[in-house]
Amino acid sequence: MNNSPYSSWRRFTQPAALSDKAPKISAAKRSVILGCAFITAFAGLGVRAAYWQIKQHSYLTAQANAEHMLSLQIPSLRGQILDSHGTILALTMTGSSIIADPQQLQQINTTNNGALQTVAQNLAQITGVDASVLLPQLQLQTQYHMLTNANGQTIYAAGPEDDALLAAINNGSLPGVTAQNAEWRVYPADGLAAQIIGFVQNGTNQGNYGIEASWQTALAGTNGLMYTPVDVNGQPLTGSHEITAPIPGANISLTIDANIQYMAEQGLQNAVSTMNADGGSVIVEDPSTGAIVAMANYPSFDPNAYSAAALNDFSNPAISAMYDPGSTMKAFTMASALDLGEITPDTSFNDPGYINAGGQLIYNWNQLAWGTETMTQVLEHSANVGASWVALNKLGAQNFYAYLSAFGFGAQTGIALPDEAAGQFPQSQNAAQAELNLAENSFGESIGVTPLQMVMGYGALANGGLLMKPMIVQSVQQNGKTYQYKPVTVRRVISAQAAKQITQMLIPTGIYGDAQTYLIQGYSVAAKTGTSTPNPQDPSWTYASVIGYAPANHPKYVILVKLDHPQTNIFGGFAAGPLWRQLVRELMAYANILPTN
Amino acid sequence: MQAYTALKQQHTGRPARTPVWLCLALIAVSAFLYVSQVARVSSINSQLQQQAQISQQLLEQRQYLQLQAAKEQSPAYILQQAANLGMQPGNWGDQP
Repeated sequence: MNNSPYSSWRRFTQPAALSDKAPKISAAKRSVILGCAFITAFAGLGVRAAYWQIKQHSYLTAQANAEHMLSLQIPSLRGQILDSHGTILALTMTGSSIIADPQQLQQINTTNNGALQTVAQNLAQITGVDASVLLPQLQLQTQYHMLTNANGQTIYAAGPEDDALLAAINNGSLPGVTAQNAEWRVYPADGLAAQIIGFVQNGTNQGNYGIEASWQTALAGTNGLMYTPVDVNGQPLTGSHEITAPIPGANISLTIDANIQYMAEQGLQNAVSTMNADGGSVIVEDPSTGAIVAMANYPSFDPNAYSAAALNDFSNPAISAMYDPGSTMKAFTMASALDLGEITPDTSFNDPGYINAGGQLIYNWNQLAWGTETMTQVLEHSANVGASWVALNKLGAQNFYAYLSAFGFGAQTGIALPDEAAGQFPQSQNAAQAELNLAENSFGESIGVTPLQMVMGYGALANGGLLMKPMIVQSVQQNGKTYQYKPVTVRRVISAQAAKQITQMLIPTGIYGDAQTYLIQGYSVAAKTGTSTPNPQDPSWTYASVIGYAPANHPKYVILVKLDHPQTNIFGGFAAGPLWRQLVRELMAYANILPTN
Repeated sequence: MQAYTALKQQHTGRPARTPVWLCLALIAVSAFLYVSQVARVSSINSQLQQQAQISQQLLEQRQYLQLQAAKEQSPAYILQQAANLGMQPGNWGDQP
């Protein structure tokens, strides 16, 4: 073999080890090596596959699902707001808003000159909005836009209107017009209790002001989620959807009685107009529970047209605006001294017509000297000198301010509404100034209180001495369950005996007072008038008010009427008195309380 | 069948275990069951969607009726209706 002429070539092409000797690695071993190589390779692939399939599973699934799955939010239905009798004051509607397509409308108009007029008339028949309001909007050459009514509010269609709208769009009666699913908030009683309720901004589920804001979480509920496959256009396909159902918002029942609220609002509007005042507030409270039955302010707004309202009108001055209460404060000065046993209703003193407080003379509102008078007569005369005398000589600053705090002044009442003010009664380190403050505060000057604080304080006088926490929410209903709120007693402020005495002192005050309210035939009332002028140089800054309760011996309602800066007559009894009397009459009739005397 | 089994045994040296047509039949039945189930699911899904639509319509009707009721219960509306009927606030007859 080695002699072959091709031997050198064979040596070159066939290594000696293979050609001349037996192979060093047997076929079996080679199979094992090959097998190991394959096993290693497949193991490597397996590890890699496991990495992607197991470790990166979530990521890859998410990537894949993002291509063809869609997560859709299912909005929860916002809860309703109701009055104490179940009348709906706010609810959310579902239906359609109306969209105009300018391009299509222009084409239609070009083809047929009177076509837009026909579309406007057809829309007017469905929505009730005048065709003359709709036509200019259909002629607008802008982008897609929602149609609005004469007040600039979006037109929504619900119930039969929505059915008619969709039918008209489908049958071609409204070319160039489409409907879009919509949810919107409606306030069926328009502006009734607007500053208590607040409003929800269009296109959101976010409450602003009032109950809508302070109870936002409960009212809004929880949105649901739908996880669904979609087609190439992103539209959900029929098939299996993973759905987390939305939780509807809670319904909130207020302590407000819509009828009494209406009486208060209408009466206040008339009184402001008659007295040429800048505004005013009325609060009606049930003193046995602290429930606010009505809380009206003027000016106010219509939450259905909130965009047309002034920003200042959204807040609720009955809880957020401080004022000098004037002589209505004297009842607290007297009640405090009665509770301490420092005076009785018959305690008498000599009123020379002035009193020295911190080096300054304080006079009665009418500059008169009443001579010897009892404490009851001090209230009847609404004598500043008498109230100052009690504060300076019987109570002292420490007791007086301790009682004011106990009656709830200088602190928020805790009502479930936003933006409540705490009020203030400034105390000076300067002895003379402190004495002057004490005297002035005793008859309601140089002190800042809110109307609600005054009402809750008088509530304590009316119910036997207990300060109640004001209730505005009566109950909350969610998922078929009702959570009922119970009255909360904050503290006892004065004894039942002192409360009875001050009530007896306020009865003649209401009838015979110099700044008297009017006699209410058949009913005994406990009331006090107040006229305060923060700026004595300018009477137009006066606050005129009457506050009291009726029937006096078994009070059903505490009523405050306050007018801001009345021009026709600045005195509480004459400016606010007529409305106070009217409300008592109406409330006694409304509550079926029969005359007793 | 016996002839087929004998032929099979003769050809392979062992008896035939599963007839091919039986497999085909099983596949056909399975396919039929699958298709019928899918059709049923699709039908139920369609019914569910219809029910959801009806439910939505009923919800909208309920809201609409609630709104109408609330409007007619509002004091302003009642007062207006009373005025339309010729009623007016009474004279209380008391004196200032």
